[in-house]
Amino acid sequence: MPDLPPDASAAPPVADPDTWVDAYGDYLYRYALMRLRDPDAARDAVQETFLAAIKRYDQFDGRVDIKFWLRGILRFKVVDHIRASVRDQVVTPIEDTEILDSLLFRASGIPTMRPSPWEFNPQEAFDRAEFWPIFEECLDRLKEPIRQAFVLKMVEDLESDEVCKVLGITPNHLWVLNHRARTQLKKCLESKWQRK
Amino acid sequence: MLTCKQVSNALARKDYAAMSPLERLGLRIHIALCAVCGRYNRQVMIMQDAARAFRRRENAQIESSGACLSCCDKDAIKNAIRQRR
Repeated sequence: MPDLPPDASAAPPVADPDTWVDAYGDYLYRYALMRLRDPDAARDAVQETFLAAIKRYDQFDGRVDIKFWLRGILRFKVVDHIRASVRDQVVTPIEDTEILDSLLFRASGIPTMRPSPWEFNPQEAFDRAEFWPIFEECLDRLKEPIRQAFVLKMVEDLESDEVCKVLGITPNHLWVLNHRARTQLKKCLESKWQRK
Repeated sequence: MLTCKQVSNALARKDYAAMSPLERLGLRIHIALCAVCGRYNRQVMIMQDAARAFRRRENAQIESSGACLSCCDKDAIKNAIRQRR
């Protein structure tokens, strides 16, 4: 038996693109669709992910499941797609400048001292599996770029500076978008979760 | 002692769960006691809890979702990969 180089046994098996697409295509597509909402963009992001993965396969060290390695690449592709879609979007002026200009906001960084309380106990709802499809549905109803801001900041957990760069907005504008996302999500969740 | 503005800005920048224990403690004390920003920032923290829980659950959510690529899309992707190799 010929002597194998020491790292040969540790090397991951050669990528077989057919098995990749069948094994992980749908998973990656759903991940992308949740973030991009546009089926065509989601499909493109998945294809770009596989192509990048083939190119970078020698960097895959097998320490994580290949599914999560691919998902890690997809994350960047999703952000690229959001960045590109924002370039085509008409920039909406901030409508909430009155909040930003208010004395309260400038002094304390909040728009109101008395936000309406939650109509249900949110922490209890978070523990229920039935709550999350509703959460996703409500997230889906947010208009762009409010939804994009929430997805990048809160779901993808990107730094604020990074989100501002991707969306091409100022920190104040990001704050307004996130404020609107919180308000609208809460309202939607209350109307849908109550009826359960 | 932290000001409301510092607390609000810190929460706008990052998830409170990702802060250091000391930062988190200062934040929690301020929010528990503050009549000005306490209520609002508590709701900001609740939404951060929601987003974190959503991230945790997302895998299960994705597995149970019905959305999938069509056969045509899959074939197109496979072809694109083959051409690139």
